[in-house]
Amino acid sequence: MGKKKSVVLMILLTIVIAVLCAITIFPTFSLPGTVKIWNPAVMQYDFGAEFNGGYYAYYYPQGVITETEYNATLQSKTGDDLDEYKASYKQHGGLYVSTDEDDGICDANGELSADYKASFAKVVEAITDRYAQKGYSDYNVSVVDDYAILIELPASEIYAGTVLSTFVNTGDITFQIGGSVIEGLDGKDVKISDYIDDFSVTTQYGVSYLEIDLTAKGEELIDGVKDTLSTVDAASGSSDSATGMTLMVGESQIGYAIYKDYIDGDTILIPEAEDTDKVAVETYAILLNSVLENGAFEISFKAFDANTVRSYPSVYGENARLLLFIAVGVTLLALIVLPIVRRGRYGVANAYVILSYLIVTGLCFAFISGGVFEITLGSVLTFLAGLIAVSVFNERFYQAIKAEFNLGKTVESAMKTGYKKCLFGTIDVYALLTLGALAFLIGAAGLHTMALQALICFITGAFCSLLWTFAINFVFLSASKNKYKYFRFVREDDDDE
Amino acid sequence: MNKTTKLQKLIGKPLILAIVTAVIILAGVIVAAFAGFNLSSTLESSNQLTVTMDSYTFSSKLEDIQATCEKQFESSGVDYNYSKQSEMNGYEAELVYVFAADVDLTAVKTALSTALTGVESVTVTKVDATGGIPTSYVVRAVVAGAVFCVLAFAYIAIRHKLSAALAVVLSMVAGAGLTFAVCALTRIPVTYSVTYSVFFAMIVTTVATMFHFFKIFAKSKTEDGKAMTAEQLTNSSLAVKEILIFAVTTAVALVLLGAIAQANVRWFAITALVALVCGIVSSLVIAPAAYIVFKTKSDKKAAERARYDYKKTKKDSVEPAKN
Repeated sequence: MGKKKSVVLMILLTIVIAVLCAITIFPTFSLPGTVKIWNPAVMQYDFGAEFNGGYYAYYYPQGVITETEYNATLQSKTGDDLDEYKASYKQHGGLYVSTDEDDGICDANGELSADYKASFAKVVEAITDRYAQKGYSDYNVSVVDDYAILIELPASEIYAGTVLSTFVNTGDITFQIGGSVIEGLDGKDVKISDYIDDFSVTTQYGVSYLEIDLTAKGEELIDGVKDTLSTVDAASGSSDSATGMTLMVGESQIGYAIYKDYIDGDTILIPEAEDTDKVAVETYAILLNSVLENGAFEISFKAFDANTVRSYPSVYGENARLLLFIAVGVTLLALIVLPIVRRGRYGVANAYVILSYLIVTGLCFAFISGGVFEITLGSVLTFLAGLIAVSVFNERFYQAIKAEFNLGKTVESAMKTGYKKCLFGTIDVYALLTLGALAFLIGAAGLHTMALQALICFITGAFCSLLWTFAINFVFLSASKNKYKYFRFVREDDDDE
Repeated sequence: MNKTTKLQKLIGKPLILAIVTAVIILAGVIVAAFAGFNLSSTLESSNQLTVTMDSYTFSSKLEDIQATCEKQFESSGVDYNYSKQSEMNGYEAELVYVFAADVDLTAVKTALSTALTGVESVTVTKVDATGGIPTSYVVRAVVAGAVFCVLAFAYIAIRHKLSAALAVVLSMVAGAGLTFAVCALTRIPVTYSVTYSVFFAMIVTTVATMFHFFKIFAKSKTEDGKAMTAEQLTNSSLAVKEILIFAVTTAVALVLLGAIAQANVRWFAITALVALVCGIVSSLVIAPAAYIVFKTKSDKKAAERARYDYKKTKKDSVEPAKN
């Protein structure tokens, strides 16, 4: 490549990398003359609970109240009412449980029922499984004083209220028209799994649908009521007289009403949300499949009040995120500066490669985020692993080029031969790392997320090490006046001269 | 005796290495099975003291309330693991202090209920963390690790040789196992991130071991290399410098992370450092030792096959002559 072309290309590369770096990491500032704020890509990340805190809320079964609630009600009672109220509850840690046999928590003797505890454990397991299916990198389901449930979600879940209020349902699935369960599902020993195969989410023409796959028996049942339902047009025209069928879990309606048009043979497609907003639909599907699998539970929870959702900052300190950026930034700086100091102009080319790695992974993490994965400590580890791999292989290339140069080859020839000799070994390592990342996609929650991020880091690292390093060095070397000085090589013949 | 010679001597004792590694891993498994891991405070069961207040009190008097609480904790001789402040969507807010499950907070609760003014209530609840890290999470992590080993084995066996593939996989398993064992034995507080560290150990072992094999494969193609025994080939191709550069660079990054960050992020950095050390030890020592054993056996079998083929060829050439 000619010198002029190389110089132009170098300048263009520098400008592009500088601009992309700024987009990726330039600190937040207010745009002058406006109320808008510039945020770099790294500030767009969905951070896990470790760095960004999250939400938590409590589920209380019917018949269980908090000590605060108990004391507040107690203060309003007097005389016989006060004694009656005191007798109707039994303290258990920070909770008060109903002594009424009908609530099932206490037996006829007022003792805590072992059967209730066993049923409660099963409910906790089912609810934990629902949250596990949401794919959070970080979440927690704990039992509080044996009779309540504490749910913790990461701050990246912006629909925490919807998720919490949906997953609290433990009743059975029914279809209702006009407030009454449809014929065929209103018996005592009805098994809903005889009528419904599966719930899933599909998207068509920018709309997310809750899809209900019916069994043959279910298709027959729904066929029997289909003609009593209104069409969508009729429903949108005059909603008061329109007849829709509602999908219920216990006493809660799930999603929108079902009209005639939505039913097609053994499939019901209920439009629920726009494609970009399908979190609620996915949440419904998880709940419904959970009820289908586990059945209804005798224990029901109080209706969830979204106002009781608590939000909290990171328990690792308010500055956890900032400190993390500083730590990673210092590492990055060291990996850029050290090669420049030791290897001169080759180190400068190395710096461009490192920055390219930062840009690609930084932008991928930002734009593939948003409900797909969160940034956790595992993300930091994979980013560092990829970054160090790129640096180490750049150093390896340098050593190989130096070895070829010492055999008497020209600088350009040494560079080509050196890269060629290292090429397949580098491919082997990145192939193994990519296979590892693919294998760890089997992992759950945070490990699955880490594997996705590792895939991005290792593929980017492979691109940087296999192609980009060579390309940048080729351009820089072509623009260099003294090719020996570029690599800081000294030929013994030159010393004699 | 220089360090490389010491390393070569160590590599020459595969049986001792195998026994030591197996003992450490077994000890870790036994401790984990009976005593479990030392779970981080965010994952283990706890007693929580919750101070509930309205939003106005939260925004105007939080620091005073916190000071009163901490004074009371100090005078009662109790220490909390961490605290969190949270606001609700309505008009309430909470200040939660999380203590170890065996801390009795009855007296503290009574004292604080009297000392704190303007708060709605002070309650104490016991939170059972439903067993820490779920079994299904661990099982899936183990399955993922096993699949990684199988894929790595297949790739290296096809690309290079069976003996190299066996050595790499053995060192990956050793690296992951040692990480797990050291975390269990040293009682480092763990969270879900211990599985991140095990994955990291496998990555480090793979990368570092391949540095050895770059040299071994390159040398084995030369005339000198072809004439060498497995032991000679391996000992003359140890990529100690390259592996140590990789290790030091990574260690510096992790130390920086641990030094600057706080609390559990620091423990995570320590776990990752343990993974790095176990991975490097595994690649420096176990991988070459295993390779020597497998390559020697493979060379022996190849020599026997060559002898058999020679004898067969000789027999075939003699018999037609007789006929």
